[in-house]
Amino acid sequence: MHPFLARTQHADGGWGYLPDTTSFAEPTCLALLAVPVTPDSAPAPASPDDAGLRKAAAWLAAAQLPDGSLRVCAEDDGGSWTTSLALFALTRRSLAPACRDAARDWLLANQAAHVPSDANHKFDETVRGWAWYGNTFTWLEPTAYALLALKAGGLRRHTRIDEAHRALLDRSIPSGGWNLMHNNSFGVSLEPLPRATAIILLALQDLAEEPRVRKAVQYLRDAAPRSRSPVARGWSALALSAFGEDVAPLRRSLASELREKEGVGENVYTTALALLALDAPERNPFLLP
Amino acid sequence: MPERWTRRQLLLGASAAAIGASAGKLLLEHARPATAPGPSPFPDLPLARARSPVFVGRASSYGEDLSRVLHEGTTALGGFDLRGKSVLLKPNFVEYDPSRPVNTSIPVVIAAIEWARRLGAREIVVGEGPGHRRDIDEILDETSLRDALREHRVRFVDLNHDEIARVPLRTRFMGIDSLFFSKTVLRTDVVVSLPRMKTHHWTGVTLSLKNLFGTVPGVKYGWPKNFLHFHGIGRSISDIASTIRPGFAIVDGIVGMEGNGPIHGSARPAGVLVLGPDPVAVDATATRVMDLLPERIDYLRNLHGDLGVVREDQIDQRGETVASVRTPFAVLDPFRHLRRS
Repeated sequence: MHPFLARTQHADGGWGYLPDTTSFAEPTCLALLAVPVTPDSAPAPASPDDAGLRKAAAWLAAAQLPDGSLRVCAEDDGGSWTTSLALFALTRRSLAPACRDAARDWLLANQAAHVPSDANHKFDETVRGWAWYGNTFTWLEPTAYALLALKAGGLRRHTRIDEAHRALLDRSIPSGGWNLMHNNSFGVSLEPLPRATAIILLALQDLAEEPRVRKAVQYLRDAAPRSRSPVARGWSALALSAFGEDVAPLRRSLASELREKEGVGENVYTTALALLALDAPERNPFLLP
Repeated sequence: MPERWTRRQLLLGASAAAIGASAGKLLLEHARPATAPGPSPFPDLPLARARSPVFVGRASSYGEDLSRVLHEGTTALGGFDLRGKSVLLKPNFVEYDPSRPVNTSIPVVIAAIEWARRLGAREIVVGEGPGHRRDIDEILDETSLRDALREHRVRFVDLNHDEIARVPLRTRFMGIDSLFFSKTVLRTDVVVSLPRMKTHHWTGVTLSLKNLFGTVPGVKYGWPKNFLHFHGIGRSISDIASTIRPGFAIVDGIVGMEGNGPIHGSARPAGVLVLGPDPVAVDATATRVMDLLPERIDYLRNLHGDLGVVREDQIDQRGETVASVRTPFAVLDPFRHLRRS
């Protein structure tokens, strides 16, 4: 385990976004994935001896609600988008099978609300994905996380997956890439964002020949190196690596920001992401089996 | 039950029932009873039990001494006591687009830091939870806010990824009884809202009250905070503002945004800073500067008489008159009813 992650794991097994904040599901999932178990295994099996991993998995299992969804943190009281991340991380680590089963069932039963398209936001209203929280709109990032989680568990053909594919492709920006929800708003064509595009590309890596996916890869190849954000570059390195692209420059830029004691910017989430990106393409847990 | 609650008592210690029962007692700290109720052009907006001062100061460019404008304005308002208090400066950094005045300008953020220091604040933190970009690093670096805060030795808190706590809402416009907020927001003594003066394609205008969406954690409600949209933006603003109760507002209207705000509108220089301890009155005045009618904005109407006042005859205007700085802002067609003429 990287010294920064080892130092910042809380006694309860989870990680906060920052070293001095309480445990949250998202950084815990990323850190769980970033802890190397064996040097060269893509979906690395969990080592039963690794107490840190087991404690992290136990924290995630404890964050699960009776309906199978996961809270974002202990103070939370309703399940949300972090259910997908936990399912993905635990699947890739082969941990907490009962927690995974319940999370998968919740994901498949949970769908974003139907929202009609209108003159201000034009999209295919017949297809839906997942919301961030509650019975609200389809948003692209939580939809991508849900797809990743379901696919990592071996589910490739399902009406929910097919519908989510159509939703993501429908909302892609014609020039390549994705914004947050739509590709247009009040008559304005929205700009793609590297972070969102990278996460969605990971979720659509099994549709590599789809023209809109290829355009997004092109966009990300050009945009990612220009981003000043280590988070955007981290996700981009993972996504581009999954598509066989050269990510050496992105890895070099992230390596230059990684410190042994402070990680990247004293931020657990960013550090875990950078560690994952630095391991790609040799070990990329986001590469679907 | 005490007659006057502190923010901490309100937000961390009080039960929902107690808060609801005490709502009628919570008047503006800087209010005094109305003495001369006059006729209102909108008689359906009742006379509130308070009056509020608002200062409008001219600043034609960001190169001017904005700290001086804030200092003179605060003096004209009768002062504002931050001695020994922790202060959260909440600017609006919703997106990054170098070609448009989307965010609060850096010089105004710096001037607010200097203003709070001069008023004796014990601790100053700048915090924001952008509604669009999750990636706060990108915004901090691209806007140069990170460099500015480092230079002025002020800590930044990402309110989207902060620790969270569920808080009972003081009002029920959304139809729910509680929301999660960032703990930094809840722990601070005084929240100062620092928005850019902009029109908004869903709410008409976005000023110090709409800016409070950034106190609600994205980690819980997403990007954007769609849960709030789903309950109605105006209703959400009303409940959030009446619960968070910002202690001061400074609107950056030196260069505002008109048309398809809050992100894709056009620059509209108004050359003003609008400030005061009553965020409702500040927003109402800023709306009048934009040559729009605050009495027709749903969330301002909701908050009139509770968090602050909207009626012009209940606002003690200091500094420039609204008429002398009025700058018509274009609005999208669904908001044409906000136009004064």
